[in-house]
Amino acid sequence: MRDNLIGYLLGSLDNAEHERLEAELLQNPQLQSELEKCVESLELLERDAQAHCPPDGLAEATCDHVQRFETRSVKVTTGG
Amino acid sequence: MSITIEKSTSATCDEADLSELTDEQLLITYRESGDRDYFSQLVHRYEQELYSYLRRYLGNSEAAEDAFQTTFLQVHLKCSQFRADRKVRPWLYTIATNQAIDLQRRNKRHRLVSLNRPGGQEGGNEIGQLLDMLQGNAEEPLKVLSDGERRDWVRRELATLPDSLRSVVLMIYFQGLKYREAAESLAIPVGTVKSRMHSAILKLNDSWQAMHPETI
Repeated sequence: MRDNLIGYLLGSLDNAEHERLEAELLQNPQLQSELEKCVESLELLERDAQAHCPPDGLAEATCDHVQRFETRSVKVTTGG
Repeated sequence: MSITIEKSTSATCDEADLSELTDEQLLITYRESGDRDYFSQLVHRYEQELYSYLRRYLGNSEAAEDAFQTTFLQVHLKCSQFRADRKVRPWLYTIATNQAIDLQRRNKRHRLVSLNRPGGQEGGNEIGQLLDMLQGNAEEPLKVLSDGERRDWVRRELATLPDSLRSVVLMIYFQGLKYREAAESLAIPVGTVKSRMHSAILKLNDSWQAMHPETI
């Protein structure tokens, strides 16, 4: 049950799991306490939630990298 | 991997058409045709998402760029192994995670070699300071932290988690993967993803409480 607490907070449980957990929370103080800890930790993570931006041209450079690799492989294979 | 990369010369599939294809259609068509427009579309589609994942996982931008490039080189080399009944997204995360782990291992070996080199007193002090830093700031006076300092603390703490926990937090919380996608990426049961996520979150909470009991 406790392993579903994060999923509960992130909204990723299905309806049945969600309802079971809420029913358990109502009568389980220890689970409520764990839920509070999870809320606090997720608030900490939120400080770093912004995605990192890739450097300009990373996708193009990656395609070029693969192309160069393939070209080298063909040369090695054909002895060119 | 035996496909030949070809630049598409036909006008059968322009950029607008490609953007409407699913990840799976892009990869399978690339595998069958060798047309690198399909590959390029996939790389561009995941540029932001996978770079951000690798940047968090590895902790620096240069390593993230390297891992991003080697990830897609592996996609190119292994696309013949992709099963049509799978989803591309978790498959990409599997490859990206493996590339990040490989890169960390290589860098760790490199650092060990560097640390083993004979050095003078100055070098010894630097290593001592580094160890102090790595061991954390347990004796540092407690203080109220700014948002930036909290963010830096989160990054440092995430970096100290074992790979098995860190990858789950990054995938589920930061990348927004579903539990089953993370499970597929890491080749573990969904229940294990949930328990690792729970353990990681509680570890973060315990660390924070231990260092900053008055700030939460």
